[in-house]
Amino acid sequence: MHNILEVRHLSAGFSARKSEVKAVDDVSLLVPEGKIVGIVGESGCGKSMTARAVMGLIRYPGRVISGSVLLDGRELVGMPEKEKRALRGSKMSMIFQEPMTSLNPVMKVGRQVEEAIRIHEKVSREEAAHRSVEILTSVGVPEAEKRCLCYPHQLSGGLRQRVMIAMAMILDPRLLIADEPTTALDVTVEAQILQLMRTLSSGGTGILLISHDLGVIAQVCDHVYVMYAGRIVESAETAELFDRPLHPYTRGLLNSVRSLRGGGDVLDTIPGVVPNLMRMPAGCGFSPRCLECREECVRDVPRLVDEGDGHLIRCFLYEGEAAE
Amino acid sequence: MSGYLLEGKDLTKEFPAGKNKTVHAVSKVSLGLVEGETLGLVGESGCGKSTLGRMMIRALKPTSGEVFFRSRPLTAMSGKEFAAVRRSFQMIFQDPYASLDPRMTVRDLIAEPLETHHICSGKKEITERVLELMDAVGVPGDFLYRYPHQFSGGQRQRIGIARAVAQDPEVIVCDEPVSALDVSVQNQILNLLSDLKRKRTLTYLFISHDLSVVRHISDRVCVMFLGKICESGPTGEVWAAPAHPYTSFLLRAVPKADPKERTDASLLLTGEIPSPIDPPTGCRFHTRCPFAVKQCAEEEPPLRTRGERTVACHFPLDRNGT
Ligand SMILES: Nc1ncnc2c1ncn2[C@@H]1O[C@H](COP(=O)(O)OP(=O)(O)OP(=O)(O)O)[C@@H](O)[C@H]1O
Ligand SMILES: Nc1ncnc2c1ncn2[C@@H]1O[C@H](COP(=O)(O)OP(=O)(O)OP(=O)(O)O)[C@@H](O)[C@H]1O
Ligand SMILES: [Mg+2]
Ligand SMILES: [Mg+2]
Repeated sequence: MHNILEVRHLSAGFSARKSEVKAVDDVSLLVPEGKIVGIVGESGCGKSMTARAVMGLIRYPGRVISGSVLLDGRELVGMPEKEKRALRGSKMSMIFQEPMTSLNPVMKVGRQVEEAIRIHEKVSREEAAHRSVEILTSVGVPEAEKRCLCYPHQLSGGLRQRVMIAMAMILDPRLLIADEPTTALDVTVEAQILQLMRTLSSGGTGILLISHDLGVIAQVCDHVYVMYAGRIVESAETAELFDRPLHPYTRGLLNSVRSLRGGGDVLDTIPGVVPNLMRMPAGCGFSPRCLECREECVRDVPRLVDEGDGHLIRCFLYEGEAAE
Repeated sequence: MSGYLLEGKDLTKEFPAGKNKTVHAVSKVSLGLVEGETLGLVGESGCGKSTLGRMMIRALKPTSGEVFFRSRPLTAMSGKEFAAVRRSFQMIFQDPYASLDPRMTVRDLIAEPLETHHICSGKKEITERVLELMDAVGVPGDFLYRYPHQFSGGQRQRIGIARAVAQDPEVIVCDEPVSALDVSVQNQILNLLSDLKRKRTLTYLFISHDLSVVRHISDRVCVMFLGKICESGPTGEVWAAPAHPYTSFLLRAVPKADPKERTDASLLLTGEIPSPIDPPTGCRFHTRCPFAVKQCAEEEPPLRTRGERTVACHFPLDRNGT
């Protein structure tokens, strides 16, 4: 299958007082055509930073340190800003957690959608206006004609997010990166947005979906990458990952999922907290919280090894096995 | 005698919204908390959960309706009378970042309610009490002189909880206390709240839009839609067999962390949440309800009681979900 996005050994970070901290450390990932690929991990593990690095949107003082990002085979790292901007308007687009930050607050919603259409293809004003109502209706905006006359702040969070998705769909990008697109929304609206993502991917768009919600990931992703403290620690097809989680962190995460059926007085937790970037452990990032931590875990960083059928795992518990 | 520790009757809150318009945030809601229980309050964003929670402890004045605490009218008390019972109520907020003063140390943050309510005095005694509280919520004592920004979200929420229990309250309104946290940290905080409740006699009104959180923590649940309660009852029963179509759609929309159980798109609610400025006539849910008939648009369904459960729907679902 053709890979729309190929990220290879990407590292990104921040320069801070003579030293450099890595927020993204040697991340490799693939997004095939028409698939939804998830990145899951705790707050601060580097999910957004990875997304921004791909889009070429890392803000100062952050920067890409090394690695390669290929969009349909074209290298984005080092590409002149002007060319990258053109790609962002056509081949790749991104939806952010808070859509307010990416919509123009002083321009009516309809106008913003029309402009996106007119940037993409040469059509008349009237034609663009007509099309924008059509497309907003198709993403589930009720009374789209009326909503076109509103400013972004006059719409609810769910509606704003749908406008962003409509704009992303107009571009009909090869790659869509959605960074926690439903975190601020209610479950009923969230379910509608996830449905839209499925529709978009079935048209061929590759989607990179970032979330810390295992429910969201399980519902729509074909493949999942688990990230911890800047590194990919596990990666597998969604069904395989949920069936056979290998990394102690992934297992802890899956155990923390609460059921709607209740049960159990005390909820499972992963003891401890995510390490601070400035004080990263020398070995495995998860070692200070890991119940199965051994001597080597504190000393060295385990390699990402294939446990069979493309199920990748970065943990000494498995590294020995794979070598044998 | 109602048997409730804290009871709200026909609570209504309207906010002015300019140009002779009114936000009907909460409309004639009655709610009772039994001593020692956790009552969950769920519903979509903007349906009035926080407004209702704040009215229950007199942190917000209702437009109409009354609140009773141990059968005494809380809303009608004079400022002086209220001051005497005020320490019985506390609130824990969603945002552990915004609710702590960044210029105060942990010691001073937790000492503040102790001093305000004259619970103890003298620097040494207060510090000792602060250390006890830090221990109770699981924040290491050597962090006594640190500032909020030096803590993670989960630790800040623990500090917020220590502040809330410092004054030995009877009722705590927990307003989305874990929504801003990662799942495993959410669980740590939920365990802490359960643990504190076991050790002190506490009654919680627990506001959340996360149905699994509410299922875990609350004995009973009230489901709100656009300023009204549409259903209530023991959480396990309601979750297993919802009687109101809205509850049923809400439960079905929860993304299950199991790729083998993907939500069927045809079972999702469509349409937009109606506006509290101009709520629909009749049943407020009728514009989104696939089962709605003419009667639903015309007549408001009364809240009917069946055993421990209540439902406000002309055509409640039976156990098979129809
Ligand atoms: N300007 C900065 N200087 C130094 N470190 C930063 C800066 N901005 C972000 N970081 C750090 O980079 C790391 C990765 O951040 P990132 O936003 O990618 O996390 P995330 O996984 O998206 O988390 P969340 O779920 O909270 O959005 C974090 O530890 C964060 O504290
Ligand atoms: N001070 C105010 N002035 C005007 N309108 C208000 C005010 N406070 C709340 N509202 C409105 O009242 C309604 C109910 O708000 P409330 O904050 O109680 O909802 P909620 O259920 O807690 O929502 P969320 O889940 O987003 O916290 C909303 O439409 C809100 O915009
Ligand atoms: Mg992020
Ligand atoms: Mg609220």
